[in-house]
Amino acid sequence: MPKKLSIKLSLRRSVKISKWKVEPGTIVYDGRVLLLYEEGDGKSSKLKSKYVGTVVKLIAEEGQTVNPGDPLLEIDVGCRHPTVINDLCAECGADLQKEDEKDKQATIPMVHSIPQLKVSHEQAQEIGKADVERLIKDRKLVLLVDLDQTLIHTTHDNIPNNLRDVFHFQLQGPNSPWYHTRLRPGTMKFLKNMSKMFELHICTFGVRPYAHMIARILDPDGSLFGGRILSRDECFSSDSKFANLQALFPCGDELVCIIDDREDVWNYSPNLIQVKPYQFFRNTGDIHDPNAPPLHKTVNYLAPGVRVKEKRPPTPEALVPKSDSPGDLLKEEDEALKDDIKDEEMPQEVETNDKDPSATTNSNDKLPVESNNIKQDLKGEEKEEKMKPEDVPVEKEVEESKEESDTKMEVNNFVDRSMEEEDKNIEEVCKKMDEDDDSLYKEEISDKSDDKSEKGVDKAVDDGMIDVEDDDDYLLYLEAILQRIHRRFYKVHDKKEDGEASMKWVLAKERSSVLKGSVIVFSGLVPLKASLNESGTVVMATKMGAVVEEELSEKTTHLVAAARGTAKVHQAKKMKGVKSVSPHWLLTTAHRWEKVDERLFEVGTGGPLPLSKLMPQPNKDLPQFLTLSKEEMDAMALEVEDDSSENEDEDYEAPEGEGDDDENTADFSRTPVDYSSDSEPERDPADPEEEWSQLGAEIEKGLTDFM
Amino acid sequence: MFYHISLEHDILLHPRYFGPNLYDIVKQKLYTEVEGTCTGKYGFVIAVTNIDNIGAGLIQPGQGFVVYPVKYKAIVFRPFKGEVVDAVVTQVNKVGMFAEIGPLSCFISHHSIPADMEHCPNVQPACYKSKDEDVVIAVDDVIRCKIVGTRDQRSTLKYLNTTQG
Repeated sequence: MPKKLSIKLSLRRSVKISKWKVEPGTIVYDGRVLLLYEEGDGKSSKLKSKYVGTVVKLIAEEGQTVNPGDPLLEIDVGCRHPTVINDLCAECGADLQKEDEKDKQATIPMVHSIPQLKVSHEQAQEIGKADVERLIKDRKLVLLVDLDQTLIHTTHDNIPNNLRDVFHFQLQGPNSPWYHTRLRPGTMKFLKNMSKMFELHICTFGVRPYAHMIARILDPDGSLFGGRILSRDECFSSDSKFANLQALFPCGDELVCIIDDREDVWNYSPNLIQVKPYQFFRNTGDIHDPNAPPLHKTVNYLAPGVRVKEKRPPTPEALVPKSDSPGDLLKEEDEALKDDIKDEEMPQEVETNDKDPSATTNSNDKLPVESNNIKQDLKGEEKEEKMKPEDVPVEKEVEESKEESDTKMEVNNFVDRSMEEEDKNIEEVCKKMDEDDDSLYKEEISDKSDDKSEKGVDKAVDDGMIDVEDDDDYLLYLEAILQRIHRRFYKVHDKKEDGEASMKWVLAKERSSVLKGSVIVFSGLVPLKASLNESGTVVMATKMGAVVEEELSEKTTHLVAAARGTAKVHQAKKMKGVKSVSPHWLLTTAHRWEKVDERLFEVGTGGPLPLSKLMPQPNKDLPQFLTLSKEEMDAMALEVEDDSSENEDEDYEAPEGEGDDDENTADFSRTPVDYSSDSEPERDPADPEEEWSQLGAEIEKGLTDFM
Repeated sequence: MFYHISLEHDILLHPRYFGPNLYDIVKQKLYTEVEGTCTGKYGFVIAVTNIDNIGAGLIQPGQGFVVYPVKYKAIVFRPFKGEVVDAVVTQVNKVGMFAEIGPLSCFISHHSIPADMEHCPNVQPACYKSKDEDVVIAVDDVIRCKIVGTRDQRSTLKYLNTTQG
């Protein structure tokens, strides 16, 4: 234990103390300057410590003349080892491996990527406090960002190497598996905007090299994340990121906001905003998903809702290059204009746009134009890709006229809203509609082509890249949510509004305003015997501020029904003021934090219901990977293929598929046939089918209606 | 501190290398096996300067592998407690900074950084700055520090006394 020691002046002459360089509490070590003193001739010198310890109090005062042997200050000799690296004290150099366990006070790894550097509790508090003060001063908050399925989607599958905006990399040398990573549309812009309001941290279950590789892609100059990358290697627990929060933010999580596609890894923390999972590649629910069957047909490598741009006969307007400056105002105006025009034909879609002024902007970004933006940012990568001219039939990147893709996008959008049913029929309809619109808009195009051609022509036509349509626009909603939170937080913090300046409170408050005033009744969603309050669906609705009731009444505003034929639906039809919606309405609302238009989600539309999604899953056993035989895998693959027209959502929302389980996957792909043969497949293929058989009829109906 | 010392190392050779180039292969193997390694006793072997003697090979019973005892001279870098060294900063964070002394990585606690310098995470790149901003330590700067402790095999730690080169 430290013992107190008073340090005496050991010089031969009396000296005058001119300045103390330490104060009580300062940790001193051998060679640390304690004070400046003057000798009789006015020369200033430094007095250095010979001890390691903490200053208790200063006995002599500045300006005082002390004689040899007079006490100067008192220190606690002995180091408390407040900062430890590799079991060496960073203050005194003591080797803590040789010392008693109880002396080890430093247990908190405060720096993301260096788990071996630990600090003591007091140190952590001190540093954490300084962090909080700095953040408040800068009017920033902390945002923990998950990678997989939140900002990016990565696969091991064989995919064409000329897909636009897909990054390819290996982690373990030349013969290791290739990773293919697609950024969610708008990621760059999202991060850039968010970095102004938040201090960004990466928190991923990917292994360290993977996390750092992705960070390099997202943030080549380190300005967004700096070194704040927490990967699997640094996680305390293999199935929860929650435990690390305390270490990273020792002063509490009042400023911490989390975005992740999984709630369970954060122990359902109230600081979490659960985002809509992003899926781009078809067969990989998550890079870490051991269930994903190996790919059979390269044609189908893309997730539902994502399509390779169709090849079109190059019409004159097809050669008109798209503008490629991000957030081009002109374009937005055009867009808006067109929306008006379309009003007559596609009232439903336009509804969405009318509802929210920002929606117009949103729709912009759904276009591959967004991809172009990213492309600009990352030309280097692209070049690399260009250098591999491959046998893949060069999909002429025929730039569709904007109008065309616009319409198409709208349609896709609609498809998206109907939960991305990848049904052939629908696609056909889309195409047909496109063609119709084609002729309709041709005139307009010629008018507009002039001002467009001014903008970057070189971006255009044939660079051998496959363009994909990816209408995921979720980041725009997420950005809006985070902006709201930031605004609200600092409003409360500045006392302009009552409340508690903590993220939990702000999130709960903002969330509960989403469906405020709505009275919701569920039909066919909560099992009969289950208590209403325990259902995940009900909890979700309640969190958003809705009141959930058991039976329809005068006050009811919404009926959320799983299927069209239930008694409640019929009853609701007769009641005025009750809007009957599909569960996807609730789900979409929960993802976007804004009440979406009920008309887009009429009962029976919206495709199959991924019930699993609505119910927070209890902690499942970790999937046992490598337990499937090849035959079983193949069978499952076929199963999926067969069901794929309707089954897509289930595919990517299967909760066990979302683990950030990088290490496993790496092994998995290295030894793709190394499945031991005699165990059960962990995902019972019969399960989804049951759901399906019930809903199948409804879906059929829904489709016919749509057509 | 650097030393030029004589060291020994055993090279285990597969029989397929037996042939006219045998000694070349032994030498080659010595370079790859020894240079860049680190031991607690001698520190880092920076470079082999001379191979003094390759002893008689001894065939391992039952294996066919041959062991050659090799005597060589090498330049080694052995850090000592209390030694003052120059280092290049590689990372700056709120707990302190990391630096590299050649092959040796070291950590400098923020307590060891002069008290008037504070961590500024907001500026690009992150750095430690004195209040009047006349001294700034950021990544890639050269600092002079004193080693207060070492842990063999690479990482070590240390402390900084003064700054900036």
